[in-house]
Amino acid sequence: MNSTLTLPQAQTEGESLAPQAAYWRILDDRVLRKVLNVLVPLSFVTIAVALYMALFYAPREATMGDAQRIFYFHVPSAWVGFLSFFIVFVASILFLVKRERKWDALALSAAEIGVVFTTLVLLTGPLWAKAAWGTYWVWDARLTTTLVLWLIYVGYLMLRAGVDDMKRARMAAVLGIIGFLDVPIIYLSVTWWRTMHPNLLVGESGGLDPAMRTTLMVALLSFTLLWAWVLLIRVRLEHKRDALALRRAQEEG
Amino acid sequence: MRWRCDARRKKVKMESMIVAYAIIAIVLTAYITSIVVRTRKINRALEQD
Repeated sequence: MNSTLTLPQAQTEGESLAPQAAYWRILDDRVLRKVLNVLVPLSFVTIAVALYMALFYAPREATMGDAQRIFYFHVPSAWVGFLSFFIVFVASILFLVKRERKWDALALSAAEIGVVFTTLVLLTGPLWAKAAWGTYWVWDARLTTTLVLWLIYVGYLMLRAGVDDMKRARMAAVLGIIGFLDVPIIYLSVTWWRTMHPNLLVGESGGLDPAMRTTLMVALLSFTLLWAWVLLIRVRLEHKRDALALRRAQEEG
Repeated sequence: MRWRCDARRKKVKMESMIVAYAIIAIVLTAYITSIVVRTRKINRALEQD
């Protein structure tokens, strides 16, 4: 794979979003292989440790019992989802400013990953809610704003599906930027409004048992490592798609 | 009677946890596999071209 490929930018509306200047050096096959050789095993080891701690080390919560252990992967899923949408936010701004395909590819990849992890939040949360509150869903602030976030980025992916042209890419970038505004709203919803959702306190005077706090930290680390290499391979997929499209365009031209 | 209700509640809570963990594992495995499969397909196309 030639990672120093450079191509002319698409300038006019409706024109096909041609592959742009080279993506990052880390996506070069040899470099990426070395990075993945470290990140992938490290993430699996930390996930295994987090799983062990969640099941056996962390104490059983008094009222919610074992269902509360869902928390140790529900919160990291939310964290990684928000992190992904932050990447979409930054990459979308850079794409609108620089008009380089690599930022658009990064935004698209991060949006897809963010939707996957937010889906996990919306699937695991109700399972925990049923055990804790006796119901799968309530229309409280945090749950509703999280659902809205998911819908916004599903809309982003739908906008990008099918024809990939500059106009759609720019519209999606704007959506990606505006959609991120929901993330701080979700985070602050438990303090702004009355809500059933627990407010996570991890400071020294907070409500988490120290063993629970340590387990959560390990789980957060494990999911962050997982997210890092999944994002890398997903962006690489976009890079390779562009390389294939370019080669085919050159053969036809 | 009460201990039977408590035991059943405990079992239901554990089942919720197991289902949640299974969902996470299945969804993430499926998604990562889809990325790997799509990448391999494009690699094959690049080699053939």
